[in-house]
Amino acid sequence: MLLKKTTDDEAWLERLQAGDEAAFSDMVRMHHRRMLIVARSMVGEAIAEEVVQEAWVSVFNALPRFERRSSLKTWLMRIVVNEARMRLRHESRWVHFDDDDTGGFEGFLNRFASDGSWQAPPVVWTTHGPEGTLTGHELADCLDKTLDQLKQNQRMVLELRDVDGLEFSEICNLLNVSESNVRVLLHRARATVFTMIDHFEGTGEC
Amino acid sequence: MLSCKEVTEHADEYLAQELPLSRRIGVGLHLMMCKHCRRYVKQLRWLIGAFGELPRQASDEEVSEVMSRVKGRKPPAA
Repeated sequence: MLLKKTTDDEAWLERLQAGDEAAFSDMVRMHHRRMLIVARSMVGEAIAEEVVQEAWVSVFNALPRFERRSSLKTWLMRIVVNEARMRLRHESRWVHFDDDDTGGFEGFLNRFASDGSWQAPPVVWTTHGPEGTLTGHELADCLDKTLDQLKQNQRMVLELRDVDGLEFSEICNLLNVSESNVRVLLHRARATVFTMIDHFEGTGEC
Repeated sequence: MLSCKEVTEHADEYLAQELPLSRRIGVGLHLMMCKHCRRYVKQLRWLIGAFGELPRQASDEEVSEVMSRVKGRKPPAA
């Protein structure tokens, strides 16, 4: 099992920057999926894989010059975002951060009466949640399934903040959007996933 | 008095302890009286923690695909 702390390991970073192949494999194993999710949010499913492969080539070439002013994780994300942006310039598309379409978030808002009180309050989570019965693996599958249904810009922000643990400032920098924008997207993403999980809890299936 | 909907709007920052004191007190008072919102906040806290535990490791196939791609394109000698 690969440990998360490897990324902070000075000796490992030294080896990585010196061109050690095993260290590079470790890095790919740890970060490839995360990069793929971010790329998908920006360029779509069809070319995300290609964008990430190109990003890895850039990483390989730029690695000796990585100055560790940011975490490795943030640096890798920047490379994949840049790679995706370049691709978008060719294909003239871009992530919509000021999108009015809030995806499943409407479903959350509909749970309140006009006076702002709960009209459909959350149920007690017996499969998920603090006393949940799903095993780690089932739980991860179920959460991934709900995340797949999020709007792409909400998904990206949730992945960067809640899954990868990036700071708000890092996310703003990376995506070139304001912090309030990021916070709104994150709130909508979390509330939407909450609603989906709550629905599963009520109906008994994930 | 904050409404339940307003409490959910502040819940993210409440959990991150980023709310200004007066707002924090407002949310706290509401939570003392409202079991639905208590449940929302408790389950949201758990959910956020669960996201951080999601496995995101690539498979052996994915790793070797990247490795062969990268090795096929060594940088030009400096």
